[in-house]
Amino acid sequence: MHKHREHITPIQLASIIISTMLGVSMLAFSKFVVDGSGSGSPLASLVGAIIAFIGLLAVVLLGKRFPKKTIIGYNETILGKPLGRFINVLIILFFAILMGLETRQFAEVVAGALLPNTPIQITISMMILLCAAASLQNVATFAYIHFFYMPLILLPITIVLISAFWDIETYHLFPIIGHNSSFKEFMSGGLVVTQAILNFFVISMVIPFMKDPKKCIKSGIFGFWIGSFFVVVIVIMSLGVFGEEEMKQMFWPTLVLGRMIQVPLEILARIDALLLISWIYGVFTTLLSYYFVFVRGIGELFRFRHDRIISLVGFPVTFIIAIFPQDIYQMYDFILQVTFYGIFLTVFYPVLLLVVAKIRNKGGVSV
Amino acid sequence: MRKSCVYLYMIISSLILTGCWDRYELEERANILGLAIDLADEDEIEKEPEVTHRLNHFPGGKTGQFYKITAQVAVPGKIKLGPEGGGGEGSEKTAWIIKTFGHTMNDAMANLQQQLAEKLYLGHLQIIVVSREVSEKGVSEINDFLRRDPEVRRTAWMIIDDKDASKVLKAAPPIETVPSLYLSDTLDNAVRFGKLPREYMGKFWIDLSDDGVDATLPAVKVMGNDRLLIDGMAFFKGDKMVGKTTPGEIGAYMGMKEKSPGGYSIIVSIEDEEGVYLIKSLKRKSKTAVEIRDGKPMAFINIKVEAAIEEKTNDSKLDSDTLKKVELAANKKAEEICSELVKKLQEKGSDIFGLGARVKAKYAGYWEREVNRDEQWSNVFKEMEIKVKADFNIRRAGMEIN
Amino acid sequence: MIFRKKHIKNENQKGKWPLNDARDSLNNRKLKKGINDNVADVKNIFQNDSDFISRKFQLCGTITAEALFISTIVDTDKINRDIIRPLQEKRQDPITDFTPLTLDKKQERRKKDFLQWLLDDVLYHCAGETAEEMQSVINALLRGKTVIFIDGAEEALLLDTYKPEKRGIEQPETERVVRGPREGFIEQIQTNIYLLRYRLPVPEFRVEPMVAGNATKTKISVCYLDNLASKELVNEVKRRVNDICIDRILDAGYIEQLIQDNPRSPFPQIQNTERPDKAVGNLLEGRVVILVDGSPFALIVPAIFNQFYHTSEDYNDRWLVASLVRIIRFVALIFALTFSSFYITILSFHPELIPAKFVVAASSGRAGVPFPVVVEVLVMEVSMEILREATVRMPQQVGGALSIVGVLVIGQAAVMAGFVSPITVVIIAMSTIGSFATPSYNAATAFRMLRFPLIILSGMFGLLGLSVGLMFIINHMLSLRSFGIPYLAPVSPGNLQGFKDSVIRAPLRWLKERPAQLHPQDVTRVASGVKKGSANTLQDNEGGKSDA
Repeated sequence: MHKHREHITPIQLASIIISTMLGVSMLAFSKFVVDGSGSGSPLASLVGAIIAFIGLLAVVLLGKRFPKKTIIGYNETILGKPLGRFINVLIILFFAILMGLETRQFAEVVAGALLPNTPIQITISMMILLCAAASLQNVATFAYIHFFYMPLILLPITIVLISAFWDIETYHLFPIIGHNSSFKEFMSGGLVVTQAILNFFVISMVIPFMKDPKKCIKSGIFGFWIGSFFVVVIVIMSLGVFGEEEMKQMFWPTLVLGRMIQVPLEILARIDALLLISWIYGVFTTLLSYYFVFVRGIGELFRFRHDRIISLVGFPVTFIIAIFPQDIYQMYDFILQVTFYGIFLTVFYPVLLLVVAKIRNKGGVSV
Repeated sequence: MRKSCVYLYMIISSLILTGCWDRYELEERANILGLAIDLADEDEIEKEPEVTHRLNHFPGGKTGQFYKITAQVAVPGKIKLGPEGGGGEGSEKTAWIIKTFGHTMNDAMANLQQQLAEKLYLGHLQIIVVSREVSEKGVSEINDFLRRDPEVRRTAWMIIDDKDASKVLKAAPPIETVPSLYLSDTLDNAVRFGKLPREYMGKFWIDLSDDGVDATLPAVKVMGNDRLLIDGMAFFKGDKMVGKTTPGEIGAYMGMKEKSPGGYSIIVSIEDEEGVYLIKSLKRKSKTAVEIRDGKPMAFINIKVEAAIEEKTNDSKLDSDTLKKVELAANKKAEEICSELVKKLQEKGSDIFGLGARVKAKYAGYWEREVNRDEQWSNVFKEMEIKVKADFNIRRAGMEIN
Repeated sequence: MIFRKKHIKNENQKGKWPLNDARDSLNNRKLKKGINDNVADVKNIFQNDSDFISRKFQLCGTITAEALFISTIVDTDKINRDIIRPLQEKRQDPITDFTPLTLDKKQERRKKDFLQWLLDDVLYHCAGETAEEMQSVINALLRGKTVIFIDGAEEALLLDTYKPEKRGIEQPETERVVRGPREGFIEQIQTNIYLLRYRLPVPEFRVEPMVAGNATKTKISVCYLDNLASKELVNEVKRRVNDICIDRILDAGYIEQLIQDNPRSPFPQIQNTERPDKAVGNLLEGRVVILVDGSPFALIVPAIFNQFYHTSEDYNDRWLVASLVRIIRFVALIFALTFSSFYITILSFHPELIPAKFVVAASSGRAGVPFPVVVEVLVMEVSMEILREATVRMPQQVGGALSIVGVLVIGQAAVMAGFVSPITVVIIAMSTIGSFATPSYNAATAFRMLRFPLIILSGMFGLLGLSVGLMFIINHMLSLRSFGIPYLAPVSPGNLQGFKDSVIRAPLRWLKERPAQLHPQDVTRVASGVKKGSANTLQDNEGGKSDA
């Protein structure tokens, strides 16, 4: 039983995508992009975003084709029960692991830059608790949360990016293709961006709750490109200010970017606190989306609608996943690996699904 | 259910939150506002406490390098906000100067923490003075500590002093503030007046890491025990300091790198005239072009300066023609100064203009073939031909027509 | 569907008002024929009450009748003048020779006609009806009606003579405005309805009566505009009020607590007001107003967060001024909630945010203080709350002096004693004053109370704690519904039109639509503003532009 007496409007769908995309990885991902593509990072990020866009288009078209079903539902319809269920389990597992690892990344930043002495378990459990509590609400509240926090996330980032403009050195940004002109390395940077923004996939669980699922295409595209715009601009600004070499030495370039700007009037000597608060909101919305997919996915897959129990069980599961990496380098290795495989799941698989759906002629309106 | 989970969590957490781990009250922190880094003399070496390692057992065998770190801690309670506050307490009361020794930065810091009641707090570190000796040996060791610490702000200043860095921290003006604050204000305002490029520590690190650019830092000298003179810029090759410019050359540098506002004056004289004109630059614009000719890079730098006449020590009339003559003279003078600067830099192989980075950006292939490393670029830089052209535009002459 | 909440009806009638023995036997009993029996039954219950009066008289000179009333709640003048005198007059009964003791079918009918004739032709008094059951007679007595028993009739006459004692209409204490009407609701529901009626002389204005409270039997009026308010909303309101099963309704607040969607939330989901102009404004938006007898507060449902920092005065002023004032109020609200926590965060966890010169001096302010900032702030906040509560309860003369003394004592002396630092006092004062700037008392209280968990959280975890606490609060607000309407409309469902009347107040010309989240039947307000026409009506159309 969907607790949906209220519906999601197209703007809310767009804001779900935006605030999910701008999440934990916003702080760190630019380092990995630059590691791979050097000064070609802006272009590589654009390419990465386009790859992710393919996935988004597929998801949105599938949503239009099956306006009453989430991905859990139409997986089974298109591929048949056993295969569909298997893939569903994969998806849920993927999001659960991603949730744990991203929570850990969040806690690492907090421990590194904000509260060095607080035990990391406390930070992790606080965030998971927050997400668990919020995921018990109905879908409309979920959309409201994203819609409400979106300007709170976007505004400080915009301020930081604009203030960083004066510190850009143009020679950091050329040549556009990058020095390591091998295609593989260029793409490895670009794919980092895809890996960072593949959480657009959450809308596959949310489209059926819209007032008019047919309208999801425009808003989905709109939301995706706004989010990608910010992602690409973050890369450009970080690269422009720091340059390739410096970025290879930092963990969290965006954070340092925030620390370097000086506000006139000296009200706050460093406004990195403001940036951190907005980033915490971004983290929350992203993690909430993951948790939401997890809870709803399990609920739908096993026809077990007691969200509270699933939420409660999910807490220790994600906690254990979050604690699992031994140190910060291991954590980043895991994240990169998991999200790399995630690309297949979230970008190529929906395209495949769409093709199969067309062939087998399942689903509603022909696209 | 959700609410009872929250309550449960709160109850549990209140049992373990006896300490609130990260809470340090403001008075429990030792606010280090300034640091000075010197090389320690021989006789001070025995004073090292064995905090991080046993005496004489420093791993890696590098017992030679020994730093003396002087920290200036703000004393709470002595500086009052508002109209209270007795007059003339002097800086000895408002700041506390502590010396410590160590093989590396963190070693010295650990030694220091061992002696203090409060927790060392670097969040308000305004200024780091490094002596010339240390910077000639290489600053990357110091930088590593400062980079890793999340409290250190990238907008702090790092400056070079010729002789004794710790003296700088003691330079106390009769104005009642903590000296480090006064010093960093000096530097910040120098940037505002156009006398110094914005090379605070963050920029310094970026330039250090960049290929094809060499870093610079302001150099200072203590004058009369209570103020600082900005004594030019120290330029680096790699992470070692190799030389110092004169203060006037800072203006040339800023002109070539297009840093506004302008703040330096030059003195010119026209032929056949006695007396001199003092021209102050207001705004600078520059165009830098690099090209590769015959397999060798060349650079063309065009500086356009907007200036005003500030002082004139002769009786001649000022009009448009005289202005033009003055401008020509100024052009020549500026080009002279710039070429001298360039020569100085080319001698040492220190490319502070970022020409290498521009070559790398524009001619990626050439860079990869010929150069491919920062150090190699120094050699190429030494041979490079750099042409500087200056173009002054004197717009106004203050309140007097003549 | 939209307005409904989950509700379990109380089926087993627990909590009904317990009856004493005498009343018990009278349940569902019809009136007897003989007047003495009826009167005796009634007197059985009320005989010891000092204000119970019974007056025998002769109806039309021939028939025995008795008037019973409770003197403290009736208008005795009216009884004498409009009831007893006309009834006592000797007049010719058109139905002649009416002998009460001989009955036959025709005479039964004539008896009924007789009562009807009394009501229609004889009595000057307007409100009157007949009753057959003892229960209604007793209820009528208690409501201030005069009961007239007629010998031989099985029905009694109930005539409304209720006269309440009431105070005059004064300016409401809790909602003062600088510019606007100075009328406020009083306790009598009739007067309150009058205050609404004269502002809405349209036939669509409905005032539907209901009763709640087993002992207090409080009269409740559900008021709405027939053509505007959504039918579902009205039905839901009526359903919830019907479901109330409690012994007392002493104030509108009881009803508020019993019909709101989420009783566990600190935030109010129903607004209350003492001002009729505010009530009428909300009626015209499509909301429902509940008037409760005995309470000068009217309830307005549904309520959203925006309303808690709006006042009716905003619509009386010019839009620029009104917008600025609203922004200030909103900022004050945020201040009241977060300022002290932010202060703790900065001072204890992240002093790097403070400009360097200030840090050095700020630590001097804290040098002598024994407690950490968290404890200081908590102690000060609690004392401020105590002080505030004390000033409310103090009698008028002492109250004013006390606030000054309180400020002096707590502020100055505590600082001098080295007990708190001066900056803390300033911060606490600002956040307290911020909470005073909120016009709606219940919302201000909610924020004041929420300050404390935020202080504790930020004292434990610094910036992270503050953010997490804020997120808990915001998420909670986002999930609240007031009669099905999202609490943070227009922000939540993203209604652009709604923004024109939230933190700013757009000019009246632009406020063309009613708030969409209430699903009113008619969305367009009348296109408000100035009618088009020639600018100067005195001009003669010569040389001036006229708008054809």
